[in-house]
Amino acid sequence: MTEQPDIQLRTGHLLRVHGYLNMAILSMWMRSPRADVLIGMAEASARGEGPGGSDEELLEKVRALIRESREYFADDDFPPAIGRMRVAQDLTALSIVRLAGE
Amino acid sequence: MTGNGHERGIEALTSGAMASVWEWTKRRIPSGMEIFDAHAHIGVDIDGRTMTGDGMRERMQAASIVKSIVFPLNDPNARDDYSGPNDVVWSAYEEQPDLFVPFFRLNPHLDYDREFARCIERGFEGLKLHPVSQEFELDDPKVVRLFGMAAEVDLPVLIHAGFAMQRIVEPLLPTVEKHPNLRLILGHAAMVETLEAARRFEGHPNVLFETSVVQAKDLYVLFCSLDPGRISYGSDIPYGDYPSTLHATLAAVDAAGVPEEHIPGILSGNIRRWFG
Repeated sequence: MTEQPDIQLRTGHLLRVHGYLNMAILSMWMRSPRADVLIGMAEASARGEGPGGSDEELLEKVRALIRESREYFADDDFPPAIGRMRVAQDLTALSIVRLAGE
Repeated sequence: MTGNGHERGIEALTSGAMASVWEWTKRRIPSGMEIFDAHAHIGVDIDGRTMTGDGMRERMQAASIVKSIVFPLNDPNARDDYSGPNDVVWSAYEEQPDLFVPFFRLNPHLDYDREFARCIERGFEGLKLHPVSQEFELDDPKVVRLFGMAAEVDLPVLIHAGFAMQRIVEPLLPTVEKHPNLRLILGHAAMVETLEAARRFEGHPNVLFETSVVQAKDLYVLFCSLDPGRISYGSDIPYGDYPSTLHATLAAVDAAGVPEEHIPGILSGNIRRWFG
């Protein structure tokens, strides 16, 4: 296994989570019948400790936001569902921006 | 309560995992701030979403928002001239004139002169145009003529410049150059072209960028690229909500290192220069 510099690996992991969040959010907006599956993929992408554990505080928030979003979405309560996904995505994106500056 | 035991309604926007997000957001809002929402809707949309004047008031009170620009959705009941949905907005304004700044909406493809005149006469304070919903380009001669009419009577125009837009800066720039006094609000901050818009409209102080439902990373780029005195907060209710959109704006402000003294302008003062 190639040893990656910590910040690059953390950035890569957060980019993964951000990408799956993006797909899920679009599917929710487009009212795709597969939206629940895509929210589930976003949930899965954030599962488990991130590289080195440095981003756990962020990822804990993101996991909770996605989990609740999925529950609200299942209850057909769109505003709290999409709001949580947007915040999860924003927190992840701005963490990536900050990592780029480290 | 929902089937999963969650709160319903406005409380659901700030409960559970959102509670700490909302607490952070409130701490970042300067004390005594009278927040002005530059983008919200009242009425019915063909996609099924709705919002009433009372619904807006409840959401505004819950988030300590004191004023909102409101205009119709893409209303299935819009007659040729949009007069029905414009009347709904006007009624909401008449019931709560301290809360709302009423904008009217038009379809540039149809005969709009009479409704334009009627809304100006009535006292509407701005015009909303949606190039995606009404399927027009910003350099369509009928739209360019409408911009000219707005400039002539000093009427601010809010343009949807967000999701599904593919051409913003290039078709709009000639109008901005021809009518430097025309007050334009770029709804959703020109989203896909936000950086190019910031560059090309930088020298046009009557073009404001409004932040509703724009991702925080896009807003970060905007705040890093444009005088924050040109940026105003918006919610896009019912598509957005106050907690998540305020969070996006303030988190982007922080990430971009925007000085604290600019926050009151972004949340209120910049748009109040036009609407008091």
